[in-house]
Amino acid sequence: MMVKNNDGKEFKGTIITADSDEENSKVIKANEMLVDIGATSKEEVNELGIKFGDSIVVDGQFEVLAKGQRILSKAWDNRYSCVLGIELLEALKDIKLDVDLYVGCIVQNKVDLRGSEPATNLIKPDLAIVMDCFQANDIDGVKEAVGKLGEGVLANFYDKSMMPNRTLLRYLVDICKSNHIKYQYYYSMKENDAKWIHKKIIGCPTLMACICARNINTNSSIIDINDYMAAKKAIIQVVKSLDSEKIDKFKAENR
Amino acid sequence: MENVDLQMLKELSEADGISGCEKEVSRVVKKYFKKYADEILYDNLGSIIGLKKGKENGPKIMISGHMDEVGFIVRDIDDNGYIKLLPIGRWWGHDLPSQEMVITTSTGAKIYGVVGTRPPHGMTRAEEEKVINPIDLFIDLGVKTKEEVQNLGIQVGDMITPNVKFSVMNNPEYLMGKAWDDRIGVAVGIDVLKELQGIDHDANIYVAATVQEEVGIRGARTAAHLINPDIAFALDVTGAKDTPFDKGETKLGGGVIISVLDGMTLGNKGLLNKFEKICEGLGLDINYNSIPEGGTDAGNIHKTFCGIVTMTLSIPTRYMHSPRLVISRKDYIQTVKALAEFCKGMNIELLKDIKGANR
Repeated sequence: MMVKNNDGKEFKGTIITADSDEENSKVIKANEMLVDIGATSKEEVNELGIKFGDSIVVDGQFEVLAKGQRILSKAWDNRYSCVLGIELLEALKDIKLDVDLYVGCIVQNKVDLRGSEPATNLIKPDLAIVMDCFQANDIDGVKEAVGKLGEGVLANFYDKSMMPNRTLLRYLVDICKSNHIKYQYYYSMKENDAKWIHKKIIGCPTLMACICARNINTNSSIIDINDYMAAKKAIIQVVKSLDSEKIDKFKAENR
Repeated sequence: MENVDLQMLKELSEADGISGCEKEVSRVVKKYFKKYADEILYDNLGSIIGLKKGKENGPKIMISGHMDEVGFIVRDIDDNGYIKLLPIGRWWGHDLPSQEMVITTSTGAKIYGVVGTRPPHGMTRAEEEKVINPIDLFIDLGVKTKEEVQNLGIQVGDMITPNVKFSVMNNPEYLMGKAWDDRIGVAVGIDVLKELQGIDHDANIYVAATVQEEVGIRGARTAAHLINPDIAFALDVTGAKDTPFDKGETKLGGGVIISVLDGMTLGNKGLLNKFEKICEGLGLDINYNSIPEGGTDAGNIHKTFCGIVTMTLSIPTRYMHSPRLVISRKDYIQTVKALAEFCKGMNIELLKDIKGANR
């Protein structure tokens, strides 16, 4: 674990358990856990500048795995998209777009999707693309399970928090097909930032163009670079091709 | 209005439109809005709004019924051509095995099939008594392979709805069809506009046929944002309790049902009182509903902007969220009458009175 004090200084620690005998082991509730940073007294902790309310994250190493196609790290949900957002801007920097492109990173997704509301109010988008990270379900061998590492960008046809704009989703799939970009259908019973983005104000067509990862929400999640590249290629093609006419069509899809 | 427009009800009931895919319903609504409304507006999720204008400074009244019905989407196509389902909205598994369903492809083609079931022979008692989870069901299209299904134009994500025709029942007061939840609410809105034809009124009436109620009352937000009304009525169905399965007061043919509260909204007191007086004045039958769970479009309308004076009117229905629902014309006709009368008489002064009831 990493504890961060108000000055931004970080302290490594670990969660201390009682004897972890397999027979007696049970899952401890998060708010009953203790983090040991090697201090021996409350005073020592105070001296380190650590206060009530300071943040603690699960630490994890960034490591490119075996054949160089997959990467292990904490927080792939949703740091990959922060990188991808920057790379999108980089890729599009000399290209003239028909749209004003706002690339942003939203806060407080993990506590009930709070940041997406003010962000949407700030920008008031005509169209939105959400780049989030979803659980891969490819280790049980169930054929109809969704989310397989390496199978490409996710074409999300249902999310608990948003029904897709079907025309826009089909548009993503068509772009993938014609550009030979790998894509896979996905559905999610969790919620994501699209929840508020698509239904704030008078609504806006919202596309989810996401990737999957194994071990999401642990410190050792794994993504496949090819999925990342597929999402990047697909989103670039979508953004380059957008204009008022297309966006109006997406808005009118249910009319 | 003594006669019910059966053709309109038939078209509304039979149109296929699940949450997020309401185009067919929207087009039916547009056809009637063109007859009875001065202007048609849309939000960006697909809610369609018909405006009948009053005075420029007249109060804005929003009447909201949702277009989307509960249904399914194609979750997966297996190698033998069986369609796996993903429910959109809430379904009881008991209502589904052996039902005829229709899949609507991206080109609008309709492909028919049947939800599979199991023969009773060889089932254990435990299996017989277990209700199958809707997500575990499948549709048999009568094909041999996945390829055949794809050649029919079916894709993952396509809409699936019950294949049910509208009918007038043996006592013509009763009407059976799919999706009375909430096409009957939409019908009320259209008929209110019709009732107001040729009549001058202060209020500007916005009849909103909203989208995506069944998945979280989403279109009501965007439509309310677009309209920014002074007063809003949500029209939605409520469960009738007059069958051998149920116990309770709500019955078909009881007349107007004023919803005092539900799980998301407390009906505005001033508005409830005013509406009740109108019903009394017309000699209508009045009932009250208070169900501490669930919600209607009112749930997300009443908290918009600085708050909107809102209440829900309920139309009772049997067999909600199943392929075949049964309603009574009488409840529908009385609701339209009361609502139209309210709209005729609403003005700035009365709006002040209503708002003032809580101050």
